Amino acid sequence: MVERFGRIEEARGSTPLTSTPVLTTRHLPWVFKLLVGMLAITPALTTACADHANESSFAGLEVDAPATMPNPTLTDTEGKPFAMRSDTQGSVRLVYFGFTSCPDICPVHLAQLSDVLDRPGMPPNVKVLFVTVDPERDTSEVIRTFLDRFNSDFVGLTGTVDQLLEVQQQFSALVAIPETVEDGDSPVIGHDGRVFAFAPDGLGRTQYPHPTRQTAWTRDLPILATLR
Amino acid sequence: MRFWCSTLEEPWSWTFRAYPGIWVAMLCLVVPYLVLDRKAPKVHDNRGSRRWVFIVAVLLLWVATDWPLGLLGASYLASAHMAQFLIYTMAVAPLLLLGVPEWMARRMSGQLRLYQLVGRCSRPVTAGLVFNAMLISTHSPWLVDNLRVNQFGSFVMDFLWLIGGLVVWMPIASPIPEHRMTSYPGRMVYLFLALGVVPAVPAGFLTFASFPLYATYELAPRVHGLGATTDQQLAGLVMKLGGIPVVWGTIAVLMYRWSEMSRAESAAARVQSTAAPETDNQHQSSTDADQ
Repeated sequence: MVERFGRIEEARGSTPLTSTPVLTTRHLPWVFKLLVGMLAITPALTTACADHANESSFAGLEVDAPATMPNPTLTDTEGKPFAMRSDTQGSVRLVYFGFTSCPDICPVHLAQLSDVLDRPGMPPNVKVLFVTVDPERDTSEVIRTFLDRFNSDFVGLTGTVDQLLEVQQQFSALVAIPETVEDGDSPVIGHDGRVFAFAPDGLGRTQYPHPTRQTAWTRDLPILATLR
Repeated sequence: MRFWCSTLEEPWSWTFRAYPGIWVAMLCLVVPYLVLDRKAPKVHDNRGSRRWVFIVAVLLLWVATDWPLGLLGASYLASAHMAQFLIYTMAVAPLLLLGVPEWMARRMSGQLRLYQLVGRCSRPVTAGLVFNAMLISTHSPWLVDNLRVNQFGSFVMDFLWLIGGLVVWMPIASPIPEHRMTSYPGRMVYLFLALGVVPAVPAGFLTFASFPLYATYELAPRVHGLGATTDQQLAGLVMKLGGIPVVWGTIAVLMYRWSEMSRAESAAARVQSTAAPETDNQHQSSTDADQ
């Protein structure tokens, strides 16, 4: 492109008559000030959207009266019985009710948790318990394959329709309502989008609705892990 | 039916999506250009190649704006957003300027009463500041998250990129000669400062930030399992490295042309200095003959 304009200027036989004022020493002080100003505001602008911690000790939704985690027994992806509280003693438990063909909320929550738990400084004693609300389609194999896309340490749980209904009620979750779908279509299931967080002391301290940013998780998980 | 790419809640899919607003915008660029170009004064050369340059620029603009890259950048991937920005500012903008002939630029700026405004914006200091202000603001998380959620906001962001790109290239490649910088070293310094220094700052923030800065891309359904932080680091690298070939390539060409010009000038000076004694000798000998 420069070559082309160079040729045009040469063809004209001279440089343009009215020349554009280039940088002069007169401009330099305020150019410098503006450049410094731009560089200075960049960090402010780029971090302006970051989640700032409020005065609460948690970035998530703090529960006013923490309740003890229920201890229902469901079936894990290896087909073995799994007691949700007693088999996770000493850990932070993040309980989530979802389904594997969920198009939006479930994959985002799990991907966020996977990213956060891979960060340095995160407590090692965090258990993610994914409880399906679609037991007909979500077999153990399907749940395992789905969870392995995010983290192979995530625990997948299933049970009968009645069991799962009861578990959702025990956790005070909004009970999932499967809609009937035509053959071949993915089911659309209205379900609770919150992740229920229980500290190692067994109390449900916080909840995390969709969407929750990684800054919130990263702030809260180390605090939760210390509550024994 | 949506008219412009903006944030979607659903997972990414390679199923084609139509955005008629983008097609209309492209036609609004190409059709008036071709209609005006048919009335081109015959004295102007390079008409065919200029036309092709303009059409390539519009094609690149279309690729950067429409599905799939446009939707990926508006909704799913910060790296795609950055690739769009680079295409807009490093390829589309200079090519559009090169594709517009001088007579057309003069006629359009005259009819739209934009000549003085364009002239002011073409000053290197102004152009560099306008571009970098646009760059920093349109990459701030607040603006990205608020503009990309709706179609009009997304359109505004794309429009700002295009205008910013045109402004920053104006001192180098404006179709109106008096709006271009004349000095080669000035152009090189300008390119380095305007397109090389300040953009490295937000690029560094994206690459080295501990957390995803943009909620839009952090909370979007993942595309092929690419994590939000990795995607953001990729975006920073794209921003940091993507412009290097264009900026430094242009600086290299300017350097070459500057050295060619200097060589030609010194050769001309040598010819003049050798011609002058000969003239003196000739004058001396003719005087002797007279004597």
